[in-house]
Amino acid sequence: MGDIILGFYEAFTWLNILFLILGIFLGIVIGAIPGLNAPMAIAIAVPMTYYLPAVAAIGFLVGINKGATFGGSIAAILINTPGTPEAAITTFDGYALTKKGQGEKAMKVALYSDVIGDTVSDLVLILVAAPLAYVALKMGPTEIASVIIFSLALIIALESDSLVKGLISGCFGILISCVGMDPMTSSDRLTFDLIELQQGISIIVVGIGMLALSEVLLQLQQARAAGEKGGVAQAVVLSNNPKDRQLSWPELRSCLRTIFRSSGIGTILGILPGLGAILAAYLGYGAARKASKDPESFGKGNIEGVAGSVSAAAAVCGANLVPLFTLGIPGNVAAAMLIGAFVIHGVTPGPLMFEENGVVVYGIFFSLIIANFLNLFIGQVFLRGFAKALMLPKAVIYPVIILICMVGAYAENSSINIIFIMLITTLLGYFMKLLKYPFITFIIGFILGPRLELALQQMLVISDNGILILLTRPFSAVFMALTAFVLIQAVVKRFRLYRKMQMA
Amino acid sequence: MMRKADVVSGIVFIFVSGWLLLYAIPYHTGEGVDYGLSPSGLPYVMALSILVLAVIQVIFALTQRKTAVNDGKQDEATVFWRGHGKFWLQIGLLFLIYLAALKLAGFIPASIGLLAVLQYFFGQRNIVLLGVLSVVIPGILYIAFRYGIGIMLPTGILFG
Repeated sequence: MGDIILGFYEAFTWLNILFLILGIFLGIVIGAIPGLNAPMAIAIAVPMTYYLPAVAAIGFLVGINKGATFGGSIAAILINTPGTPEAAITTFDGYALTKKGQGEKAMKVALYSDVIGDTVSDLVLILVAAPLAYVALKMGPTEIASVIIFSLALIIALESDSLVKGLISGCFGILISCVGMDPMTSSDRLTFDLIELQQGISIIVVGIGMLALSEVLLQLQQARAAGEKGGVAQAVVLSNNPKDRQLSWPELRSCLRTIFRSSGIGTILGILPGLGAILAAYLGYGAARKASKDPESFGKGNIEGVAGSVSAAAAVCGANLVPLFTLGIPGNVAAAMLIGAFVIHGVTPGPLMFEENGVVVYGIFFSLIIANFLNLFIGQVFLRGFAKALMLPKAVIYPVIILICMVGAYAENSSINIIFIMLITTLLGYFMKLLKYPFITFIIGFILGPRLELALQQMLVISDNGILILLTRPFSAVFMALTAFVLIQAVVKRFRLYRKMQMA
Repeated sequence: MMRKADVVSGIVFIFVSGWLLLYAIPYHTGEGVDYGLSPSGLPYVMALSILVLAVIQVIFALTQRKTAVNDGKQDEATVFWRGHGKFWLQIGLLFLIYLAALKLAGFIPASIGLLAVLQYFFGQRNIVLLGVLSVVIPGILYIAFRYGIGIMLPTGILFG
């Protein structure tokens, strides 16, 4: 109880509120600009939170994540280009509304749907995390190893078009995570006598290089190759007619059932690692259309279409933190980047968080709820202003982001050599994306690698080097069976697709 | 296009995993203890897995039926990869010069140059805006990091 009260006080400090506002503001702007997304922004922002208290730091980063979900729908609605991947579905009805002159109305629907979806999943996180963490504390190293292996397999199966490439990426991520000091003997491992590598490669450097910088460079190269004029601003037109701008209470009320249904879908999908906001948005939209009295109007400017996709995608944000808080397993890339922030502030994500850092955990919970109200307020007040973010030319935005990436990497260790390592990860990320190796599985493998190794170490010591204990203990046997099922199903599905392509 | 790229990337992974298995892991990993997982255990397993998977990928890619037979498509692939290669040569050189300038001249001069070149490279032709942003943004970042977060950015050997 004491932790809850202290967490409440931590959440309501002026510093925390200020950084929540800043995070949400940044998140909306970044999400609104096509090509930029929350994981990228979080990766760059993490090193800048060094000197903040833990609650303010995590609140700032979560604020970016929340803001970006709404921001992504702004571009989707106004210029038919999703600002973030999960906003792609929002273009169907959002842009159709803009063509009717009701772009601002669509943005307001998106804002309310986003806030409600986010709030629903945050409440589920708050209610479910502590009991699940209690159960997770009963798990031994064998169980933890099996859960990590299953999570990796699930993410690889779901996030990869090619299973072989997904497995290569995941294994490569785990391999890179081995660089540094061996956790058992503290001897150098794969450091090649470089001092900078003795502490291992930082997740922040990998995140900035692979998520942010490589994506910006790839987009710029593709824009150059397509002959786009990077110095030209995007045109955005908003109606001044009050009828087109306002969202009436009856209109909002008509969307509420859709919003809550899609929020439920997004929350359930968000709890499972690897399923992601894109799938949630698609299923939320599909459910809204199926339940609608007028399904033919979907795709032609139905506000329920916007509400269904945005609320489902937003609900993934909070739910993705459930596996992170309870097991220390990130549910998506944004949660993976948050691990870097937790580590900086001396908090290890996982079931022990509630015992060792209870004040921080409850402070974050309260911050999540405050952030939703702030998101609503900021979105409402600055809606037309955020639309103008779309008008910033790429030739200005992207070089500034590149510079911020350099500074962010430097801030990690105050060493120029770290920037060089970051550039190597950028090159790796760039060509992985080009060659369709899923970098998400690389990053998740990189993050889970050390935890997996520690669990395997402990498991082998307990079982006297008996690896088969993974199959003999009931809980781990179930997860190993699920792992096999997931991988076999993925192989069969891709084999069928391969046969179809060969016969075509 | 992807078929050839899969073969090439698969071969690269085969060489990398071979290098790891035969040199990097045996010569750059410490000794373990008599129980549990040795320091080289997980790296060996992962490198071997990558080797096997890369061989599978190369075999799959080679046995895929060719979808592009005519020279036009092959030229398109060559142009595509040359474009990315050229881009990385240019941007890589720029970044290396930036790192050298960062060490010698410090954050502000190096970043002014970097921002100016990047903006021009990516299509900014309004020279006044280019100049103003190139000076103002590094200045703001320097002040924010130095006085806001308390991180000292490089001052350079020449001016330090």
